[in-house]
Amino acid sequence: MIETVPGQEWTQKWEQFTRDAKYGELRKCLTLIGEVSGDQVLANIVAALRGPDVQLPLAQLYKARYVRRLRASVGYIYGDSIWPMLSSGETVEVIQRAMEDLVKVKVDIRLGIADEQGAVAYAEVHALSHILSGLQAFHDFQLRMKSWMALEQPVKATP
Amino acid sequence: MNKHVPSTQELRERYVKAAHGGILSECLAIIEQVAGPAAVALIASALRGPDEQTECAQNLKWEYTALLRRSVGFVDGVRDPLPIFNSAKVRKVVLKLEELRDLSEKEGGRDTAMYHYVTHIWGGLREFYNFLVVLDDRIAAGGAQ
Repeated sequence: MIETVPGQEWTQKWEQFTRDAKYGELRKCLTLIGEVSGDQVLANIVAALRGPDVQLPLAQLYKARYVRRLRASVGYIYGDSIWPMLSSGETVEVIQRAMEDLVKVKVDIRLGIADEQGAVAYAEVHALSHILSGLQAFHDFQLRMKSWMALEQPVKATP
Repeated sequence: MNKHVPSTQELRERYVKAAHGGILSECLAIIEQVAGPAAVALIASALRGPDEQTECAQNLKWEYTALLRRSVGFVDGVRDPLPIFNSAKVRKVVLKLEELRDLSEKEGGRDTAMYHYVTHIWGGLREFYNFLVVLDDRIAAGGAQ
């Protein structure tokens, strides 16, 4: 016989969260994030939901790569074809990619490859920094959910 | 047993308390309850400051973004201004931003970082204004939420 923690509350909450994200229930998703990870983590996520202000192709590429993924993962959009980040591993991959982009922009600034006054590049750094904070905050939420769900998994098997 | 339905006045007081306490999730939940999910999305999108790191853009951040942040419980630090819960005062800020948006469009067009920022902060503050107006109207009408 396998003993489990009754209710499996967090597993059910996670399943509900993924459904809410899919159906664009932004506020419900944000409420659970606030409940699980606190309002500072939540603040980092909401501050990342806007795309970059810079309207140049590279910045818009960041939007497509990262902002839309984050939006889809927290129910910001309705019926978008972008995949949400359903697992913490998936989020880590996206974080790594965003970090690589951030490093590249910073190197371009240091080497003077960025635009003359660096204004666009600095704006990109700002946008990417916010995006990264948001992605890392979402990852924090996923990890907490994962550990709480793990506590609800079968704890021991008895003959 | 009947469940207590909070009056709009109680809801407003809860909101103000949450904003002062920096409880973003509670503020967003009340905004959604009153103004709907689109309002939450627009406000969330407006909470980031401008990406541009120029002095002008940063001044705008302290004038507008910080104000919205503080008024919805997104605490950002000691430089934050006091929150505003007076709809007439928020309306004045929204109107100022409309002028700024038009000016920004005239000077640089729509494909600029400044226009993008101003459009977002204007949209967020406008939704916040609408939320306050709905609360005020309901309180004036004396109805429950």
